[in-house]
Amino acid sequence: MAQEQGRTADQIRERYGIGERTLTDRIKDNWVGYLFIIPTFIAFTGLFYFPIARGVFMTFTNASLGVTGEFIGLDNYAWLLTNDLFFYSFGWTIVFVFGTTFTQLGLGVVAALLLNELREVAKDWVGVLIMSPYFSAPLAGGVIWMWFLDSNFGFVPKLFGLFGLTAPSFLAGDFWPFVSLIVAQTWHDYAYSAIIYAAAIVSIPSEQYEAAALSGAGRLRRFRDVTLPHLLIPTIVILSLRTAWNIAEFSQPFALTGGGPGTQTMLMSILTYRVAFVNTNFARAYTIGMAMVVLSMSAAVIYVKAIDQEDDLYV
Amino acid sequence: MSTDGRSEKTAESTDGTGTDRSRRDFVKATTAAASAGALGALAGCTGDGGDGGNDTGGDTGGDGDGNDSGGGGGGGGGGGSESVEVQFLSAQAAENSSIRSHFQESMQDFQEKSGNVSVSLQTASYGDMKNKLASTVQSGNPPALAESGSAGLQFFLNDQLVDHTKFFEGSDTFPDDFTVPNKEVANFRDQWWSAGAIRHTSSNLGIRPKIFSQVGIQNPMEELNTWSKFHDAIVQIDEEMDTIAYEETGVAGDLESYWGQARTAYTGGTDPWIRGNPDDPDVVIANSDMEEDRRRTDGMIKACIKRANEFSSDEAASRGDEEIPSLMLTGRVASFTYATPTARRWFAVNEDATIGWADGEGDFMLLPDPKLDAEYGSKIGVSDLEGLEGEHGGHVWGLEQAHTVFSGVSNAKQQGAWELSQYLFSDDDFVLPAWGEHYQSIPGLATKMDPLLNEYPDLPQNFQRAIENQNQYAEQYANTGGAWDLRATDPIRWTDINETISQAIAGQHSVDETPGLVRERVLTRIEESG
Repeated sequence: MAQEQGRTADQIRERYGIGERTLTDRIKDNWVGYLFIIPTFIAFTGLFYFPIARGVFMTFTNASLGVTGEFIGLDNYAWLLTNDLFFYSFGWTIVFVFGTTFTQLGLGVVAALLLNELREVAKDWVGVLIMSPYFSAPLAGGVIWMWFLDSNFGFVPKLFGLFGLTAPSFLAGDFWPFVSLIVAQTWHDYAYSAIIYAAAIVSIPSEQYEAAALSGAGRLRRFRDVTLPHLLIPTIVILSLRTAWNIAEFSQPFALTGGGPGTQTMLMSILTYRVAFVNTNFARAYTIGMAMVVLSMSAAVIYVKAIDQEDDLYV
Repeated sequence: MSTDGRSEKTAESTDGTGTDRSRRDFVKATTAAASAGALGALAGCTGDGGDGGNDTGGDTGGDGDGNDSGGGGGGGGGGGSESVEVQFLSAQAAENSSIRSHFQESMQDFQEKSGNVSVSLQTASYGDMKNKLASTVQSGNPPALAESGSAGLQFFLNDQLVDHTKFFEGSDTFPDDFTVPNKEVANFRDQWWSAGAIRHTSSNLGIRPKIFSQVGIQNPMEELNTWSKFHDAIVQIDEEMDTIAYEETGVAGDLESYWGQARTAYTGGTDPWIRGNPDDPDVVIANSDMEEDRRRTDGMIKACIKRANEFSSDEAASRGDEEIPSLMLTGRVASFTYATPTARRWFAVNEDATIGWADGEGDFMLLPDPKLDAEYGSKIGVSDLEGLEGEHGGHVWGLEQAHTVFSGVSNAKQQGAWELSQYLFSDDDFVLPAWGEHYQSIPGLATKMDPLLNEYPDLPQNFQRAIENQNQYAEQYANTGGAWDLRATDPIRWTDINETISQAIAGQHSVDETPGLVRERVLTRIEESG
């Protein structure tokens, strides 16, 4: 546009008084603001970025219990790429994370829609009920599910017994430990999705539903054409955050199976703990941590790209 | 008019209300400065706090040298009258409420007896000990004395522990009066890296008499003294009764039961796994150059997995030893091989539990682990074991309870820590109630066994039998890993051996390929750790 009118960018900036200023100029003008930022900057650098940078450096050392270690190049990454248990836990972590995240997403939508349909008082009480697992400590969640599923004293096996049935070994037999961990983790965190979705649904203008209804759209059609498009952005947020958090999830699976039986349910988070505190190899533990970071970042990128393409359909 | 909101605001302020702007700026700047200052203070707090606990700030005993010279005699006055506070991190004190109270009272007792050494007792479970030690040592603020267990060996190799030889040289008691397992545990390649374990327990066969009597057992010491006889009994229980005939404590962290089983394929206390020069050790597992011993070691690995698969519950690969008392006292488990001398854990589940045979009416009874006999291989379906015999035997805990004095504290504190460890080993006021009553165990000094038996003549059957097992089959009861003198003893024991067996019990790989996998992992570990 500027080119069309024969003016350069500098001329436009000059015309409107928005000439480029140096960093020094900006600091002079806004020194109070910068002063306010300093504590946060220091806090983030010292407590967040520095540990990350140090951790990354640690993966190139042989740091172990109580010692910083020496530089050993890529040895820890070579170990990682030749370790059977790491690959196993990597694969199982992906299954666990996606199984958990998408189930949480689905349940979250259902819970949010349910809440949206309720009257105010009922909404409060049902909301509390739905949210309560999310606000319980993950370790407590593990113990709760242990008491629920344990073959010897658990509630579910007892219930099976009442009907003359034998319950499977939910925490030990066949594929059940995998299912149990996914179900327990879904139970604990699905309310997070519900909270976000509920907020998104409330903010949808009612005129859009009315217009759709007037055009003859039924309930399902209104959900698909009005509600769902409004849930796309919340979905990106939920998917990205929950994926990252589920990758890092440790307490509840550790309390429930501890990575067992054998190493069947060895998540990367539990493997990290074991390498650090059983084998006392902190450098290798951090190297596994790096793989977890890469996994969650990759997932976030995939989500954003996928939703971007989906979003184009509605533009 | 500016298109930039920020510029517009600035312009308004400057134009109209110069004084207000100045005051607001001042308040904002002051607040920001205060925040920055507070953060700086916080950083100071979280920073190098280690100094306070170390030689300079923490040396309340005054000049370390003064105490050092006085304390050289090994438990003398400690040098001068100035007091010193010793941080003591114990896992044993967290085992149950009874022993915790005893530790707390004993620290007062020690303080009164020592005169100038006070103790700050901290506790952590055995599971949390490495975690806690790692953080305190890394922050430069280690405890003076800790029950560091095998992690202590790592600290020793990193020069973070005192060379305990200097203490031992001035002592009439150490290491001469140590139990046999303690002599192996506390020594690493001719250096005394640890003050030893203040107590031991051992792994043995545990049975429920009420169940075994129903399948015709009348004299369990005789009728269950070989693996074949034991096998026949559990086959009968498995077929005739609705109970778990044998439960393996198969979670990797509790497969010490296997360590005990493995010893029963040998005689004379021969190590089933690793022997010889620690710089170039012989790994017996799956070693075709040591054929007969390979058969014994591999055979017992396979027998452990097969027994678990045939007789244990689906949960065996996840089963911890803590779950067994409640399962056995309610009749759901008939036997296991993680039975220890500690009676208290049984009474914690049922204070009326009957320990011992009691004419076949007992709730729990401790026996020696069965010995290997020539027929067992064919009975359990492990050809490696056919025709081979061994003795009773078991694993003795010791490395796990090793106490160590850290070098990152003042000389005065090191000396105070040593005095405290001597008290924990040798003072009757602590030792006898601790191991005779609060947590039934074998004292870390052999010379304390007789006083204990005199003080507590009516010991529960399991404790009595465990003592007799160790007296009768002394060499066959040893600590697993203590004699290896390897830098990576712990990961070899828990991860390479136990976790691999646990995986097999869980069905992650076959029985036959397990010894080969264990060997591969052990060799890799030794090569990596040097």
